[in-house]
Amino acid sequence: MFKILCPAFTVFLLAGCVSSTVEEVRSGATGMRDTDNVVVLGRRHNNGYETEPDFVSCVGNSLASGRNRISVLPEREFVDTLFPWFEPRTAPIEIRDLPGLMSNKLVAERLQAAGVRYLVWLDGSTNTNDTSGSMTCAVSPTGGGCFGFVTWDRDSSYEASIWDLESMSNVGKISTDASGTSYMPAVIVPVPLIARVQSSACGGMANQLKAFLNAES
Amino acid sequence: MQYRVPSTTALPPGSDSRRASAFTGVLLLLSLTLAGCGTTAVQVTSGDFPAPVVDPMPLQLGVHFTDEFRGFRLEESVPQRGDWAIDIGVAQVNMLMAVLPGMFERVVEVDSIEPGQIPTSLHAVLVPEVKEMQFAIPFQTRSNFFEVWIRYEMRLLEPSGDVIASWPVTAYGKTRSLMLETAEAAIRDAAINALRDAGAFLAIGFPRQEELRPWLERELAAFDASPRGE
Repeated sequence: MFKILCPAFTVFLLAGCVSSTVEEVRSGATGMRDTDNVVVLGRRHNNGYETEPDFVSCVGNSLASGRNRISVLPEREFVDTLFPWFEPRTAPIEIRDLPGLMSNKLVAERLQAAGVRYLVWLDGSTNTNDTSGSMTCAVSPTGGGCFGFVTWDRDSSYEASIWDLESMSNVGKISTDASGTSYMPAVIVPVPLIARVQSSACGGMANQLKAFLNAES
Repeated sequence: MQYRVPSTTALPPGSDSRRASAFTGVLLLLSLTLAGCGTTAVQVTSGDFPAPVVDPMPLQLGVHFTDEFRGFRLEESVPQRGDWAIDIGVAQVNMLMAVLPGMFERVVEVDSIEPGQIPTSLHAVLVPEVKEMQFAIPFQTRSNFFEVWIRYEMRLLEPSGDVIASWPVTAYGKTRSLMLETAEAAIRDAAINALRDAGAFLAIGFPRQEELRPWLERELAAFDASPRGE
């Protein structure tokens, strides 16, 4: 018991605090049949940022695991299967672009063969703000160490738009915001107290998406 | 027992390995110091380019890659970040040979576009050329991204060698700067993304290209009138 609790307690102590909120707006009915698949895609057409691939895969993996798991196609496999229609410059941006794309017989056939019912577009990013403090490290023949204190804030903000390919409509949006402060005090050895902001945003988004897509409403 | 100190200073046991470690350390430090002065070479040799999901046109296309195109290399010096050399020749040939066969009924490589050298069985020959390539690293843009831009000029020739049309294809690719990824790997990924972008633009844009419309309409009408097209 001690062997389990001790590392867990250490991890708890070493983790910074994260606050997160998740909001949902539903504009259509959803529900998953056994044959339905979901694709989680990141928006990458913006100049200043792109939705991180690791966040997209985190949400996809979380949807595909645990209770009420959903069948999710990997983003890369899907984008390759539908090349060149889901590249950053060619992917449909608005739901009104979808009927035009689906009118392409080859695209519609590929989507049907893959059993894709919902496209989940993730848009957003995680940024580091307000880094402060300093740390100095030195190495000598007799040893080395660091001294100082560094702190930084991270903010995650993501929005998921859920497109139903059957009704060709946007059935809802889920947004998640998370923020947290990480600390790294160092007296000889640096001790990082990391706030897992993106991970928290991923967990919140995936849980809400799972409930949203599985709801028979 | 008397212990005599030799006239030359004797080193204690293990000192050879310490001296070797110190030498290695100095070399390492020197190499780290000089790292900024070297050339960062990026070889974009492969790249997994998928075939496009488009209706293949019932045309037979030749494609001619010049030696310059096959071996295209961008060399540029970035102040405070040393010299960079990015080879995209092999990858851009791979990209076109993945994309073009999906767009046309048949695609063959043509060694020469000299008059009389182009097989008359072909409807046209495509000659791609890199007009310009640029890249940017986070140090320059103060962003988290490595970026690559490529501007191609595509020339389409009649089997006689006459130019049907030429049009630009622009491509852009970026990749996020990651903590454990080298700059070489990041530029390679950005270049592959740019090549995918070029492939996407070419596959979707070819039938819509204004300059190609008269030729394309003529060739497709001829196909429709032929026994195969009826």
